[in-house]
Amino acid sequence: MKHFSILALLACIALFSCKKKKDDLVDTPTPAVQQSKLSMKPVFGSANLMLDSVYTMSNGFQIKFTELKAYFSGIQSGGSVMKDVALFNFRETGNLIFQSNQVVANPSSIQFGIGVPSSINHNDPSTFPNTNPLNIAIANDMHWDWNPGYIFFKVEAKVDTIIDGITSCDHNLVYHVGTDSYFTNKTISNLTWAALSSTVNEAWLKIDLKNFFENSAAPIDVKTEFTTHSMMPQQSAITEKARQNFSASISEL
Amino acid sequence: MSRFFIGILSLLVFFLACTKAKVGYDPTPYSLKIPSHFPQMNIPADNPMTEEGVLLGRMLFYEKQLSLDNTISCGSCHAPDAAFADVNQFSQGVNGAIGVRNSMALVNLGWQTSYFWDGRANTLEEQILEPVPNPVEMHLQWKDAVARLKANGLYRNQFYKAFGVVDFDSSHVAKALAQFLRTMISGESKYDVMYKFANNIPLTSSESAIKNSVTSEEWAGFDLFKSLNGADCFHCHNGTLMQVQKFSNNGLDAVFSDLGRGAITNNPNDNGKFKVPTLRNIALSAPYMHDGRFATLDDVIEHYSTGIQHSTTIDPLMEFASQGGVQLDSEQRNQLKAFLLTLTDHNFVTNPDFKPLNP
Ligand code: HEC
Ligand code: HEC
Repeated sequence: MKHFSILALLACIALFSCKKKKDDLVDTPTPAVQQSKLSMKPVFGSANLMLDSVYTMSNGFQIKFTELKAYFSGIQSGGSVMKDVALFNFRETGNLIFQSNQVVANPSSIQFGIGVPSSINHNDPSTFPNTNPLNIAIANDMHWDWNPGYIFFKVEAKVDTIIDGITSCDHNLVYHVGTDSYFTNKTISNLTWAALSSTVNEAWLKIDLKNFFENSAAPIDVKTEFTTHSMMPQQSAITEKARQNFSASISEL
Repeated sequence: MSRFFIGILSLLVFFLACTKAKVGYDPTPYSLKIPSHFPQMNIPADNPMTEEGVLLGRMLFYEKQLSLDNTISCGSCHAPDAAFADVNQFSQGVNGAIGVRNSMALVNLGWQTSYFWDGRANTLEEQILEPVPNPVEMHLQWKDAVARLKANGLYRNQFYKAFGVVDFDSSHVAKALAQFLRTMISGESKYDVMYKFANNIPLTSSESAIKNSVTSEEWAGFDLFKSLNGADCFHCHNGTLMQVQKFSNNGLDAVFSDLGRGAITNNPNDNGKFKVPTLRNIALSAPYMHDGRFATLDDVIEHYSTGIQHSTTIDPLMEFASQGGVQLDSEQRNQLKAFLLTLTDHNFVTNPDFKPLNP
């Protein structure tokens, strides 16, 4: 009996002196969650577009793109929001717009805004949670503090306007479009979804940067219309063209 | 007698049952003082901030034993009085060795996404492994550096308190230094108040008083700084960090003697690009640029005004490059300089927590 109680005591001590180990025991498998993934492929006419590579415009000018970024917001299907805000950053994160838990199963039609809605466009960019693409640490150079708000999209390129067979892209093109009045709503229909795995379905958009310049409704003359920072009223004409053409260049792949 | 044995036995069981629970390793979480207009800082999961780790990092930052001949510490080239940079164009390493790059001001590093002028390190922990063995810096093998620290009871003790290790190595040194560097936050300059005001962020009463003390010349300089037709600086030096996270060619040279980012990526489109540096405490961190070529802010302003060199990789946001620069007149230059001086954060550079423990 005496020995028994000593043993019991020892066992108790051994168990209590190492409480921490308990935590390791919790290991329940997480159930598979269906996810939706939306991606966007930049193209130049019929060619795949890569940054820093040279393409030829219809007028013979040579062009290479150095930056392509855009905010998409309120991505939804029939009122169900699939993603509140996403940042497309071609150089840093490639084709991905967003991947998140499925809200609507493989919708053929989606709506979204290009840019950031005015209700949150002017918030302190430090106050969004760390993982939100509007947090300044992720937004980085997509936020203006001279004109507080986000840059909705950014196209930067270098162009060679002298058609002499020598490629020398040294004429800079900068289109930074933002401010509330340039927020654009966009609808995509005929979206097709493919199963990437048993849990992830993916759909693709494309953006044609040839059309960004050559859209017949509002062609951009790179010789004279080479920059905008959406300054009003001085840059309103070119900003409106850029807004319209950017939106018109996005479609289902 | 048998009681005695039972006593011993239970003590043994107690210790063996949990060898991990050694006495003395019970680090205190460190709470970072992040200014309200800054974003949260991402701390790596494998290097949580602790009081003990930060203190160890501070000891190591000023530890000359980390250099071959015991003459140089991190603090030699990153001196508090120079906003944690170096007043010399090129820092002197051990035995008078000279590098080819200007020392960088260490500030708000926890928010950076790459380190060094060419961004060759992706994390602070990774970055810190370089200076000690670097022949033009501290020139000491890590195994020797660690052996020196292990010979010192004070360090053995502090490494144990910070990380619970006896057999520590360079990764622990890097972690401690990284923790210390993450505490070096600057967000209390006059500019911070101007930034908050411009971004409609509410000011405290003491901040309002500071705002009221901003001179018209400083405001004019701020306006120029962020004006497209003025100095056009804000594309790259912007926000609370006064820098965006990217590599850029700001038109210093038409031909590059230092390829910068291009030497790391081997992509000719990156040649001549360097990390956009912060402008915080810029008045204190002369000389300027990756090679310290400019001795004064006037020289820098002159560069952006009329000295821009064209090259294929020049940043498209150097928008007046084709005219050689933004062409500021002398009044505008004075205004811009007055604004740059508002970026000095006296509380930061004089903060006793960032100075040597035993000066
Ligand atoms: C001999 C001078 C010297 C010493 C000693 C030195 N550094 Fe540096 N430090 C530099 C120089 C020069 C650079 C820029 C080097 C480059 O870009 O190639 C630099 C860059 C850095 C950076 C990158 C900052 C940024 O914004 O990207 C950090 C962090 C840093 N040093 C920390 C340290 C630490 C920690 C130590 C001590 C272990 C240390 N340095 C010792 C000269 C020195
Ligand atoms: C297109 C981006 C860009 C613009 C616009 C720009 N800078 Fe810079 N700035 C840089 C880069 C990149 C460096 C580092 C270059 C190097 O060392 O090679 C730099 C360096 C500096 C430095 C030196 C910092 C140090 O620690 O050595 C100062 C000061 C500075 N810039 C001020 C300004 C001012 C003032 C303006 C506006 C007149 C301006 N910059 C506009 C990109 C830019």
